[in-house]
Amino acid sequence: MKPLKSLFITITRPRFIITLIILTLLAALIGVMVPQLSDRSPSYFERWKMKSPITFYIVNTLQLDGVYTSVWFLILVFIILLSLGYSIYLQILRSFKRKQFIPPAEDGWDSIDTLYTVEPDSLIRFMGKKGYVLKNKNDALLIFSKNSFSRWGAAIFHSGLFLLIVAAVIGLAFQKRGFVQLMEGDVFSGRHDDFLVRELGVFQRHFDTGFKTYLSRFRQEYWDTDQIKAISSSLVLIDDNGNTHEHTLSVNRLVRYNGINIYQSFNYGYTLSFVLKMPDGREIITHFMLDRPDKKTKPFAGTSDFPETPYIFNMKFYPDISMNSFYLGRPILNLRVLKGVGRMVFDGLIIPGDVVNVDGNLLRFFNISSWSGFIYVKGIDMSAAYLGFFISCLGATIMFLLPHKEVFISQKGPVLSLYGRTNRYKPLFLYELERIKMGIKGIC
Amino acid sequence: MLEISTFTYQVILHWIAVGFYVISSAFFAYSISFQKEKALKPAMIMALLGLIPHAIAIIIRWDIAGHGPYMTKYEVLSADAWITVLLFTVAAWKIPKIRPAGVIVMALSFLMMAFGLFTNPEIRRLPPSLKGMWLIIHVTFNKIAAGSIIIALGTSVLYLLKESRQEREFYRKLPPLDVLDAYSYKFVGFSFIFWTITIAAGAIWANEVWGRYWGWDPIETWSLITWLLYGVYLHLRNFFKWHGRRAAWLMVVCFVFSVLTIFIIPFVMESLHSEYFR
Repeated sequence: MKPLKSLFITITRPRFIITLIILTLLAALIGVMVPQLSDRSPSYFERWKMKSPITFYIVNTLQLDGVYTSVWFLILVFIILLSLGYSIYLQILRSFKRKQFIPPAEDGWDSIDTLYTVEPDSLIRFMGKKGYVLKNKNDALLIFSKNSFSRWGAAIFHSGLFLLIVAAVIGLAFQKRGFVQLMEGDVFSGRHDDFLVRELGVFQRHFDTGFKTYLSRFRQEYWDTDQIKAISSSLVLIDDNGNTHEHTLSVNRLVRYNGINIYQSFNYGYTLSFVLKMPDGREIITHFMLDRPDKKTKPFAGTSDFPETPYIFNMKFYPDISMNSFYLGRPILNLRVLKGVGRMVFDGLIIPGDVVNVDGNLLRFFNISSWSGFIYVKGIDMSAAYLGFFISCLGATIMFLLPHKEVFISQKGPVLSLYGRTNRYKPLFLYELERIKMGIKGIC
Repeated sequence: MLEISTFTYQVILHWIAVGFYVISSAFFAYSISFQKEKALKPAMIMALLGLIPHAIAIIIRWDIAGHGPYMTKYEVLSADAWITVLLFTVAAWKIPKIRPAGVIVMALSFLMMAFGLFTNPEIRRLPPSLKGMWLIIHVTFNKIAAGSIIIALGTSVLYLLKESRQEREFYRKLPPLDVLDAYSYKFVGFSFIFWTITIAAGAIWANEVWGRYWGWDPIETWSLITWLLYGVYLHLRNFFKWHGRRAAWLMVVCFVFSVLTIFIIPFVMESLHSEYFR
């Protein structure tokens, strides 16, 4: 029991708390300074490993490239929770004790010579106008208080933080999140393996949506400044029994189905579909998903392998031959096909329906459609996080905007003595006390 | 044709506001440099007068653009400057003792505005993600937080100036050192509240758009770093009685981090937030 108590005393020591905050700050700094596994492609880290193996080894061993999922960060969060929890307990105890309005010691009182006795009722009225509430009254002493609830400010603020961190940790531990890219007319099976990217909490192993998603139509709209005005997708969700449910998904307007939230991603573009007919008659169909450029004068571009062949396709696609539109009009594709590294086997402009000879094979550009990314999230209810945010904001407001003030007024004959104390901004409170003193002189 | 002239009109009004703020800053600087207390009054009047064309310019632009002042450097800096000047004039009206802090507040405000005006004033449209109530809460509270940080910087700098030049008559007229220190603390507390609300509103908004509260986006993370730094400031004051000079210098460091987060990081790091500051 004793070691446990000393542990809690240690983790709530001011120096320890400051150290925890600084360590969290440093962890966040590392998170933005060192490239993180979740932000970059695996090839980026491969290149880094090749270029500077020692630096990469150190960073990787210390888990600096995955700060927020690293063991040391989780330990830090655990210690913060312990420290925060015990601090809240101590703050609550302290707040209860402060309720007792213990009169101050003899020294430090400011005296006002009133020449005659001031009626307590006049003092109570006067202090009432200043926002002070009478908390205690006896023959010799009046105790006034303002914002007395402010003594709870720190406990409220830290409780909100505690709740927020707990909710975030639980949410992260149990979250299921997946990303898919779907072209118009295509169906996503909803199976774990068919997600392009998955983010699963430590207690999750599998993410099946339990329904299929069919993208019937994707719409994109732009402002005249080339910025996106609106994007939306018409989805058909198909359950295990084959029942269909139509939904329209757009940014800020998610679809909830079967306990899963589907969000519209900002990743989208055009899909170019090709069929390559080999001399032996075999046909390979492939779809290339090209990302949207930031300007309509730029092409939808991409470079990718053509599966099962030695060819690399380098594509610059303009939805309209004017080369000045995001919308599909009279499309044109600047296609370069490389065989292996550097040997060009085709370079030319083609339009849908064209059949061209590529290194003895027949390549047909047979379709253009839109594609879009979708985010699937199955998380636990995060109302606790909302509540945590709200409580923290409330606590901070109480703490810093409404400091707790107490004024003690004692009368012995014609001499009235005044004493005040506050938990924040003491030099400013002294001015207020001075004004109270002047005001009392005025009512004498 | 009408839109072009209205557009030009708001640019001219912005420049008129800059003019008032420059004159205000000059009066504040004169007041501090030559210890002339009388110069504080015209400085405050100029700041107040500047707020009027500035507000009209923001409203006109809001009307033309069809959205609030939260896209492009031009709009963001202008709105930040307006809120800073408004907060300062209200605070200085209620607490005349902090008026000399205007030398920092007004100078930073007109510099922000002028920098914004020299960038491309072209109107950018809102992307679909930047719509909704949480955006308004997120942006508004961030601007208030930025304004109070600038005022806290002003009182901290005054503290440092007074501390090193106490023998001069003018500085003796400034509020006592402990009062300046308390005002810095109060404005830091104020900005801490609004920074907290900014982060909270941003997280809730992110959850509605992307299905996650926190994605460790560079600006999200820098915002957290700045918030933690203010946490360090407040804890050091509370636990270790870091008052006066040390607290004033720490406030300057906090200010540098805030500027990094709000104005520098969107330029240098690819972020979901970069859209608002292009």
